[in-house]
Amino acid sequence: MNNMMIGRYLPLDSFIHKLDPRLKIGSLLILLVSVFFDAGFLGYGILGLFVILLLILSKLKFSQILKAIKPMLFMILFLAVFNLFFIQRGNIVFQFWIIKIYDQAIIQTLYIFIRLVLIIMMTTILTATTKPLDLTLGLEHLLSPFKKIGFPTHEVAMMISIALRFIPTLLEETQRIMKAQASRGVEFSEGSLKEKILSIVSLIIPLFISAFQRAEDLANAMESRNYNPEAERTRYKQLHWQVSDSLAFTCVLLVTGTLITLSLI
Amino acid sequence: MSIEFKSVEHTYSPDTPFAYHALKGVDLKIKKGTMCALIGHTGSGKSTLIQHINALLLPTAGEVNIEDVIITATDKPSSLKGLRKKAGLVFQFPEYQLFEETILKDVIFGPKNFGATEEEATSIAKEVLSLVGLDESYLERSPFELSGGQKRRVAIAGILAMEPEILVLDEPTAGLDPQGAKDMLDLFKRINETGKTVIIVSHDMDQVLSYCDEVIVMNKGKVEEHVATSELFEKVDYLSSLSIDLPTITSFIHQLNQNGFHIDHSIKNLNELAKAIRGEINE
Repeated sequence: MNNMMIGRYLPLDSFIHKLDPRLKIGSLLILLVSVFFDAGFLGYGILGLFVILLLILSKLKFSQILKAIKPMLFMILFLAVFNLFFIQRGNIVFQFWIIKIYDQAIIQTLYIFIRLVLIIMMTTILTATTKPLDLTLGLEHLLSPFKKIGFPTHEVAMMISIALRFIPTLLEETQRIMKAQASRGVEFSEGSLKEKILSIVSLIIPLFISAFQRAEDLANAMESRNYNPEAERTRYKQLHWQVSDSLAFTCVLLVTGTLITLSLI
Repeated sequence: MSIEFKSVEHTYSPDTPFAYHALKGVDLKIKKGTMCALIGHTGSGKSTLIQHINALLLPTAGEVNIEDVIITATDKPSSLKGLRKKAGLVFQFPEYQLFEETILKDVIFGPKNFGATEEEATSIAKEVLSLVGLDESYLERSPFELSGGQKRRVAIAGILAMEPEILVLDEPTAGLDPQGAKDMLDLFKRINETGKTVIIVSHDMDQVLSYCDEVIVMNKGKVEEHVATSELFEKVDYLSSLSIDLPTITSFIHQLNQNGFHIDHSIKNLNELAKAIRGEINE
């Protein structure tokens, strides 16, 4: 549980950490879209290099990224295997009994593998370099144009920040309950299926009860301080767009532009 | 020897930016059948220490020996179940661990995990529930409709039902009313008198003085003192340097002595104190 890397903020001091959260969220969206342009291996090479550059700039260790990829490995392999066997285009390169593997399938499988790894790397860089609260703040700013059509921007941002706020608390709680039940002889990793289900029940029920209790306490605490979601509010923390943000954004646009050009020719 | 720690170190999340060195070379021996208090500031390593006693945490260096089960950083028994049965650990606010539909089912959950049959577990459960002061009318009730204090009794009964040789309690009386706290401690004393080792993490020095034989003081990840209770409370300056209050009665004796009395520091109860004061006045 302590080794969870996905979505975890790492308090380091780097160029990427200091960038505006709006820029980081926007860039991630643009890069996520450009991952899906069919720009060939050259395109993925460029994007890959760019992501590695971001990784170095953000001072994250490669091992930390590997930790983020690890839990997704099963899904990646699952998708890769499906693609390998079910895409039937191009020339057959390998045939055994009813299994036929086509060269297009191999290429597509490699693409999917590369795409997923790139997506995980990019999202990990975002969450590892941006404090959850800054993320929500950035999101709220980016969503603010939708306020005009009645979209509850502030409420959504509040919900996200509360949800993010409670992830570590709930993880801690989970660990605490797991330890308490382990003291009562539960072994979460061993035993038959029935025992495993029972051990999960012994974890989930207390977890739900305390989560509901916390939700109620928080709602009461907010209401007793007269929280009104519709109130106009100002912020202590203001976001300032810096030159470095514009510079970074230009780089992202350049990379995306290159990828689009490559996919068109 | 019931519990033995040999230069035990523990670091949380080693090799990450979150690494935290919580135990720095702990040496400790606790004899079988002692009632022992563990005191110290928040963050001094008390919780980390007690979680080594039933191997919820494993030492990152050093050796832990619990009732002849030896655990080192590299070597531990293949199953920890035996150890967990011997050393029952009650966490702070244990009422959060309740999950079954009825109190009886929740209490027999532990013993059944350790291999007791339904009947054996049920008869132990009835016994321990009456020990913690809940009669048979509670057996079929849901644990979630009880008051906070009663929930805690059920949770503690759940650990007692495992019949552990060592009972470790992390602030068992936090948030209880004075009478509830006293009942609870009287119960632990009775359990201790049946020959079991009892370790209590506490911030209440009055409790420590009246119930515990020995005190372990932890500070910054180390065991700084491990002495008899009466001996500890003579070290007034040391305790105030750790901002640990004296027990009410000891503090009162201390003030009397500063004003010319010569009363024994180790007096634990009001009757003896009254006698001693009368003796001094009559001289």
